[in-house]
Amino acid sequence: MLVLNNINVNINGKRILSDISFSVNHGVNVVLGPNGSGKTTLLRAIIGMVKYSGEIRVSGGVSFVPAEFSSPQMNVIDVLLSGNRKADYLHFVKELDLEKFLNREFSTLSSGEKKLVLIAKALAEGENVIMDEPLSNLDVKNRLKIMKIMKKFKKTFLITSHELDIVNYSDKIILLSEGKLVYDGSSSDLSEDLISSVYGVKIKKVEINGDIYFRPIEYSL
Amino acid sequence: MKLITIIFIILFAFSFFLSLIYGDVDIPISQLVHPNSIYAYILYEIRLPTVLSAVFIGIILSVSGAILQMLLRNPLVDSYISGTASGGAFGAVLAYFLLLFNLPFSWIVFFQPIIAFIMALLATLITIIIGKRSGFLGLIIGGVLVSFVFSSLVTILLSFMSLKYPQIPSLTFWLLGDISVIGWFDVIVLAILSTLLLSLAILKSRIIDLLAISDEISYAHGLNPDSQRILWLALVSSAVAYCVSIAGTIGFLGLIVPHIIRRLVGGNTKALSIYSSLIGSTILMLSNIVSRGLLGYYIPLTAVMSLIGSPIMIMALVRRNASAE
Repeated sequence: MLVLNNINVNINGKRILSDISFSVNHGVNVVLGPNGSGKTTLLRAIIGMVKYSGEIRVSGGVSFVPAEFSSPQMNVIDVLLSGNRKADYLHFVKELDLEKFLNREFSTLSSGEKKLVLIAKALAEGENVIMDEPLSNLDVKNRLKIMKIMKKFKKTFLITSHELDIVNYSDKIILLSEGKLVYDGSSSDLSEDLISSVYGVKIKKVEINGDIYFRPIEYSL
Repeated sequence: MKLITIIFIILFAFSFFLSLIYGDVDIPISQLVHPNSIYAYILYEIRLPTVLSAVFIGIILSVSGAILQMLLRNPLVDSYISGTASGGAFGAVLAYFLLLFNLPFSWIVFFQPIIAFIMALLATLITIIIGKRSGFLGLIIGGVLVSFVFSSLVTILLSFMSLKYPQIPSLTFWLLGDISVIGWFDVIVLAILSTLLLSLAILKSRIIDLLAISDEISYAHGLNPDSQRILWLALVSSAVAYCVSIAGTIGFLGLIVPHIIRRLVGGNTKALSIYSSLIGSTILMLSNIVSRGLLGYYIPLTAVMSLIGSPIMIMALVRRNASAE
């Protein structure tokens, strides 16, 4: 579980996050918001990478899957064991079907495979798995795989995304706009008017057999 | 034990043996076990200290190269490219300059390593700041430029001082390197520094691996990657600065050795450090034989090293660009 209380972040005198308070529990919690709304900064505050005022309480340890990372010429097993934490990596390697990669060189994997390796690492290392853009640059199949992984394990996932199709898989949506929290609740209660005004694009809410989708229907080109 | 490990150890032992025989004066094999008085002096006071210094300097430069490549996430850096060595050389020469202010000449033993360390660290930090603002190749170009600046400063200072202090080593020594050690004091210090660097690199190898992958994951592990990098750079700078104080600037060793190890063994910090130590000291011992007169005359070490090193670096650069497309 993660609890954030009145989080403020200033970088170079500019207010990036103001008065963010929310709590997340087991399940898929998605931070949405346009570019520059403060999503990545919020995640970085939680791991102590940016200075903040306010209070962050965590129970069960935090692990992280970054949006961008380096691919040194070392084996996948070395990537998993890096940082020297005691964790049951093999269990999650098996769950994510990555055993065949263990002795392959990490830099030779595809971007989707690399991401899955880092997700296995994060699943083993923390109860609160924070992922920055885990779905970006991935094909449809790998995106589905990652969304299913989040549904399968009983952990607290806090992720950022630009993919609105993730909404259907999420237990909670946190919507940021210009560093402020404008929505904190379930995907079914999120109105198309609010999300449209935040992104500045007309977005339609569609329900198909109880599933909820948000679709941009108008691009002002 | 893996076959490759055995081959590396045999190569190391063979090079060590050759290094004992060949030098400014060749020692006959028959004299190695029970040398007569002249050969005994050469063997115990010059040859052994020199060869062991080559071993320890080889370890320090190769392991430093491996650590820098991991920390800066750039396989094209080493303590030579990063400006660390040139900064150290400038510091070492600057120590002689400070003698002009009427300090006793013998003091140099104590404050030269300290000034060399400070300048080595300063040069490295300048390079890193340039790299942070200019990217992957910017780090290398910045490092080469920083090296040029400090090498020029060495040249200027030496030109000024060589008249007053003819006992200061020559410009060739400072810029291109030469291992010839007399006595055991430097050998002991080098042994301590190389042991410290190698054992810390092995002990903290998983941490360095993580720093090579992601700052964010490092923070999630409770590590501050910036302060970790500074600590390692300080350690590397102090060890490299000491090497430079007694053997001048030796280029390319720290660059090529981790490349060879990555291709032959693997690229995690532990494997890189252990095997780079073996191969780095082997290559430096062999280069020193060539340097000290295999061709009948003395050739600076870096001249030998860059002939081996440049093609490997060019290959790595071209391969990287080809794979990035």
